[in-house]
Amino acid sequence: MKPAPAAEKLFFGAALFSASISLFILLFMVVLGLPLFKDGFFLRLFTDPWRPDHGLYGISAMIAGTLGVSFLALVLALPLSLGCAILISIIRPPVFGRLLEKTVQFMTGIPTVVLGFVGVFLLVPFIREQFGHGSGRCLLTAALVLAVLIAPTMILFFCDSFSRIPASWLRAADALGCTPMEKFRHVILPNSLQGLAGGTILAMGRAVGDTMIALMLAGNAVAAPHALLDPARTLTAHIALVVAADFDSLEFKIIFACGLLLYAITLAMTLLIRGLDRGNGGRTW
Amino acid sequence: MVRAPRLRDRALIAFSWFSGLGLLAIFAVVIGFLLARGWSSLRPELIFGDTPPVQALLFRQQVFDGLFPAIIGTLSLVLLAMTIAVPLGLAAGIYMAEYCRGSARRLGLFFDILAGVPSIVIGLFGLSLTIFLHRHFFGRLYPCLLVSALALAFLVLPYLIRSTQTALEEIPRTVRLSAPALGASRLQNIFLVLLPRSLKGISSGILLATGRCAEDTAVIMLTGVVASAGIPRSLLGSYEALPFYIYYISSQYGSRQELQNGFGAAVILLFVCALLFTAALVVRHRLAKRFFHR
Amino acid sequence: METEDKIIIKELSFAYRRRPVLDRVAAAIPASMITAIVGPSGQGKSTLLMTLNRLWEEIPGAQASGSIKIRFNRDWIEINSPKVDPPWLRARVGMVFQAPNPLPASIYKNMAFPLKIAGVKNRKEVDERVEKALRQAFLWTEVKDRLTDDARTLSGGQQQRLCIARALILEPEILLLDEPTSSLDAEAGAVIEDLLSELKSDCTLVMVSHYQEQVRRIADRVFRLENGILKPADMP
Repeated sequence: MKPAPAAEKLFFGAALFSASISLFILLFMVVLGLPLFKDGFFLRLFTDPWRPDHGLYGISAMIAGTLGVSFLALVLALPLSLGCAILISIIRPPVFGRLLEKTVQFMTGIPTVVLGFVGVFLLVPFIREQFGHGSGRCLLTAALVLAVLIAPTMILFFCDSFSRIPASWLRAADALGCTPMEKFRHVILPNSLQGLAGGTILAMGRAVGDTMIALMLAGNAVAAPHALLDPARTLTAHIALVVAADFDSLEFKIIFACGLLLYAITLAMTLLIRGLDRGNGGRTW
Repeated sequence: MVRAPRLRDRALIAFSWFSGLGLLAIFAVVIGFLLARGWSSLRPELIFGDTPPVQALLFRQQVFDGLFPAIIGTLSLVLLAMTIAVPLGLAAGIYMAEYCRGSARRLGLFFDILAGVPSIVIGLFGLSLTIFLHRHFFGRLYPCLLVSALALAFLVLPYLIRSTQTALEEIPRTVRLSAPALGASRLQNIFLVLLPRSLKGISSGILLATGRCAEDTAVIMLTGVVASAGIPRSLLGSYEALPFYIYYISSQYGSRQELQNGFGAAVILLFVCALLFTAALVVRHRLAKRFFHR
Repeated sequence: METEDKIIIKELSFAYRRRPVLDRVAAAIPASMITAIVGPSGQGKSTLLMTLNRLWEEIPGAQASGSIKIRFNRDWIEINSPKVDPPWLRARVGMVFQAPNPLPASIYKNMAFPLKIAGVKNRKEVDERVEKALRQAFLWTEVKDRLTDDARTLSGGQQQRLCIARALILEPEILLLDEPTSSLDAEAGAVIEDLLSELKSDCTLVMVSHYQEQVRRIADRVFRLENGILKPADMP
């Protein structure tokens, strides 16, 4: 074969460089966090409390915070998103359906920091007054706003997976005299479970990876939250808060462990979604 | 005769309407609240403070109590990031769609991984890259505009690659083969037929990526943005940016006036992102046919 | 009349996504005639055409092997040789597809496109060759006053003739036609058939066709492709 032309080499170089960035990120996290892997210190990250002044640097409270905030957000957003997706692609009210779809698309474009800002000055005082104690910055507040952040992504993903059901199946259901809702429950829903799972995982990834909402609204106290109104600190917020520390301190090195953990979680989700996508081919009744 | 829907169906329908109306209500409250509180502050003073606008725009006089430095900061940041990301993303996307065969397709996995990496982790990467370079190569390098732009470019790169790749791959085979059948080389086919045909998909991808650059806060927090720096003077200096200003105000505003400026900044950023977003949608529908005629 | 061969195919195999389509087919295609390839659909007739200008290389998942020799002037050239540059080959072996595929541009730009690719810059030469090719394709009188109109404003039959003219502008020695009339009505199809009969004095035509009538009307030779095997057939 003749050698690849210069243009192809250039394009390939760009692709290779772009792909290598994801590896470089991992490499930097590992290398800079390396001191943490010595002497069983790594395990103590998960058992110790966070007491830098006592030489204790455990991040279990932040892990609990991340899991708490993002699961709660998902629990709030999932039914809402499913309902909206059904309204948009199954019930299809002529004007309202289009309006809702456009709104949802638009909502994916709202800056996160703006959403957080509204949360700070609208939802925080509201929660504080309703429940009458604390600052109003807590697990619940952050999860509510985070749910609004991830819902549009989920809705669009769900609508997309509903629309992938072959039209012939839908006609078959019509011919059997199914109402739209029966069609949805018996034909569309069972055959779009993979898509629903994919959208949910994607949203979970966004929730885990988001920094601003938790940073602005969750209160950032270093303690595992036990109730909805407890403040919480997520891994992402922890990185943002500690970054001002001295670069050589152990406290600073800990944020690479947080980064590594976040990388691992989102990597697992990416692989899961790709796995689901691949399984899509052999879908049957 | 119409069969009455069963109870379960009716419950589902009711729930869907409830969700839809609920989401719309949330949207209305968010936007309404922002506009109600921020609209009144949308005046020239919001941007220029006490400085005469013309003097500020010509960079003759510093603006101290307005958004001008943050706006210029965000503008330079976005421009710089996109200057880095667009050529790279387009080239990689072209490779994936037009050249990549066999096992090289696996590169796609790495773009998906990069797309999933949280922005704060990308910011942390930018920061650690800076520390690394500072210690070993350039002692003068600190977190700065250039580092932020580079990290933001990494953040949006996967979107640009994917949108370019998808736009190219969506071109039907008849169109794809027409120029090669007339003796066009692959490169000629790409630049004379395929890219013009996929221009709408690619440019809407670019617009969305621009919006993402403009709104991201987590990346820049770690790579050089500060609350007050004035107009960015150099690529290696710190700078101000709109999203960080909004965050900063929400956490520590000193006066009613500052808070009011925060609302103004939030409305401006929302407006900018909405504009980019709408432009992306419009472009997707237009543009395509214009190119060949010129 | 003594016929001269233009294309000699030997041991040609083709697979798409590892599924065999052609299995060691052989054929000799005569010069300055219309050779028709018939057979059931989905048997790889279009694929066979695409091996003659190596267009299959643009389709991911396609794989071909074997020998195809084409006589350009006096020289036999093995087109599957790595020394042959596909764009060079495709400029000499033109191709027209089942559905007309004008680019989304004016009639003139469509016609000038192959010349632009080939690097012909002289405006006068371009104009002359555009006119000549359009005349060859019986299209000149219909479009000469609207060359700047979008090509997609033409009727289906006109678009297909435009695509033929566009292929002819490079003066190819061979023209491959993949069911050129199947997307057209009978009347437009008849015009194209007349045009093809006219063209064979300048060039060798290889045509895939579904219509027995059409083959009987204009083809000089017929090959039948079935189950991966290509063999000469009688007039239907």
